[in-house]
Amino acid sequence: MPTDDLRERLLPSTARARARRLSEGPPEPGDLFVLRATGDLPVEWALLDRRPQGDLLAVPADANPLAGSGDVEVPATAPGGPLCLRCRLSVWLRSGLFEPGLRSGKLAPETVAEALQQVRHLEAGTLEPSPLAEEVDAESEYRDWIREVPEKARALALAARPAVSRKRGSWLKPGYSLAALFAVLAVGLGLWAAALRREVKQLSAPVFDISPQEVVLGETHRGPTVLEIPPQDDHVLLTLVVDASIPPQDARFEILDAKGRSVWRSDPLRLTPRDFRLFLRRSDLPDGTYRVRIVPETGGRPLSESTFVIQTRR
Amino acid sequence: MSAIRSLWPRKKPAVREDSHVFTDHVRLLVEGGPLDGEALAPLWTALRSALRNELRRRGLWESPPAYAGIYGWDSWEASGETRRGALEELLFECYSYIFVSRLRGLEAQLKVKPNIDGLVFLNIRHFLHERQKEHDPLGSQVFEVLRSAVRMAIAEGTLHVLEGDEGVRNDTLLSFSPGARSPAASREEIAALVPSWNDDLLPDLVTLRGQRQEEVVRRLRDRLLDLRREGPGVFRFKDLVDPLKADVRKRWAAILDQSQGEAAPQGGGEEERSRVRVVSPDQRVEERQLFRWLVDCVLTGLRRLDTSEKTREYLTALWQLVRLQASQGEGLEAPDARLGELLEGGDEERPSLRRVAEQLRIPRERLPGLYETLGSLLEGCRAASMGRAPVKAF
Repeated sequence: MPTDDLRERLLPSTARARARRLSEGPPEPGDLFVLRATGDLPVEWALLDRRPQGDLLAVPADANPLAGSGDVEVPATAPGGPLCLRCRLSVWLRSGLFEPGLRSGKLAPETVAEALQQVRHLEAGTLEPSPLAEEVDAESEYRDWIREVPEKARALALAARPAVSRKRGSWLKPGYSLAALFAVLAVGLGLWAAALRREVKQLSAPVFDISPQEVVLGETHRGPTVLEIPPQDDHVLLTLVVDASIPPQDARFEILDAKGRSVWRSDPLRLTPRDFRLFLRRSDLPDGTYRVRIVPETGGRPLSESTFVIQTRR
Repeated sequence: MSAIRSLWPRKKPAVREDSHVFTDHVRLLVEGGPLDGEALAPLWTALRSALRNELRRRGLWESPPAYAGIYGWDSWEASGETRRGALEELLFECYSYIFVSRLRGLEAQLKVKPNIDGLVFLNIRHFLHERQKEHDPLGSQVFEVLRSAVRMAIAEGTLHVLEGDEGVRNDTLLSFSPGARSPAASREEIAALVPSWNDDLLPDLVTLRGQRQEEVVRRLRDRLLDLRREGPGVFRFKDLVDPLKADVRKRWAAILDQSQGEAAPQGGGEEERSRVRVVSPDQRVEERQLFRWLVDCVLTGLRRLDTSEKTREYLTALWQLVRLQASQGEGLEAPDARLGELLEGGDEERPSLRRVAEQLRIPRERLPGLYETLGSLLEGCRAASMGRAPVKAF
């Protein structure tokens, strides 16, 4: 049993882990973060650059050692390593997405510079891939991984909204206790929808409450929310956000079309202040205006109601 | 379904919903809890079991441990010695890979997940994939090309998955008819058909890499379609890939003058086996990094070399042979040093020119000049490597 030697080898590592003190300041280039929006996936996010208005250039980073032509390897001996930075999937994200408590590490300035250069080469089409990286590009294992993990993570991060500080009830009209529905269909979701299609298309019914772990905090909308759906997408993801101002109770969600016909309704559930994710087939949501509402199981007026418009992106 | 679970084969869930032994261990490490034998016992049991399952899934359980970089053993579990043997050595390496090198990443994921056991299973998969590629490059390459060919045939609608992982793994049951009900062909039946494919596919099956790999994938896809005419309508992927690998190993062993076959690539008798080079894991990582850097540097040099396309093809094929020979097995030299010996060490270090010429389909009289060119490129790369640390230091 390798226990004796193990203790010796572990000590520096655990001591290092304990000694690690991560900054609690605002996110900045060089930081590694985990995001709630991509919490279901084995990725971190490496921040590489910042725009004057505050957006951050981020790349998904993971521990799969396969490094293709668009990737930068961070060796185990370097700060933050071992990781692979998937620079082909770089994306500008709002700084509010990165919660200080979810900072997970720090990269060396040299690594950040190398990754930034890689991103620039990729954008300019001037990357000269190494032969070994091209070998990895051709590997089925690598292609599967990129499709299943960092590409999905990128789409989820793009779709996520930054955490916003809200005063309890501040954005609610009197007697209209809650409801926000917001579009998670943003630029880049097409990618994600395409990746999910394989899994989802076999399902004949809507999929509700997929992962309670992901929390996307919402914001109020003025007027109906317009969700533009790429024409090729056959499913729509909605995130239903329940505000803390609604007391816990048994209720159900309902979506009604413009004529008041029920398009979908959930089973009764215990309403708690969290988010629920709902996948609906596009065929169940043709272009038009819809209302989503929360109805108490005991009957009476809806606890909350919101309107949204589905339209095909042109 | 979480992405972590969806990456795992769908046949049986690898992550039990209530499994948290790895999560508990990471918490223990991060919080600096006591690492006594009692606390660690459930971890070793779970990690050993997960490793054994993954070795089986990859078809490595019946292969020599050398294919995963564990030398000096004929099988994974020494009879009567449950706490010694190849599996225990691999267990230690695996622990280090996951819970020492990747502790920071696991700790990071604990911030957004209550349970990270699934991540540990993923890391076990990465660990074995990496080791297999390093220590069994021939087998890994054959698996990769055949898997790509099968997936191509599936995408084209000529082959169908009847059972098992749709991503195509050893357990995947395949058929040319989506509704086939006949029993799967026997291993022997397939083994009688498949090896002859290599008459046409070698050496490209092994030497064409990167963008050019697609060419040999297509050729192998065509051979798969021959299978429909020649016999079995239903077969398991493992029964197809195993004889193909075995035949490639046999043919290449003939060039390399090694008795590999299905035996460990480590030489013959006990005395020779015991002469395994002992170096620290960190040193091994540095050597492997330098080896990869040199391989990449020479391949890049070949791209830029001012020569005819035919000569470049010969040089590339010969370099892939040298690379394979240097990376297989675990002799007394580091793999990067073996590259030099094979190119610069003269005829006594190299395989027979006649065999190399036959297998790589290169005119024999050209081989000395080709070796010399590769030797010069390697020398230049080695000189360039002096200016870089094998492991980045920050």
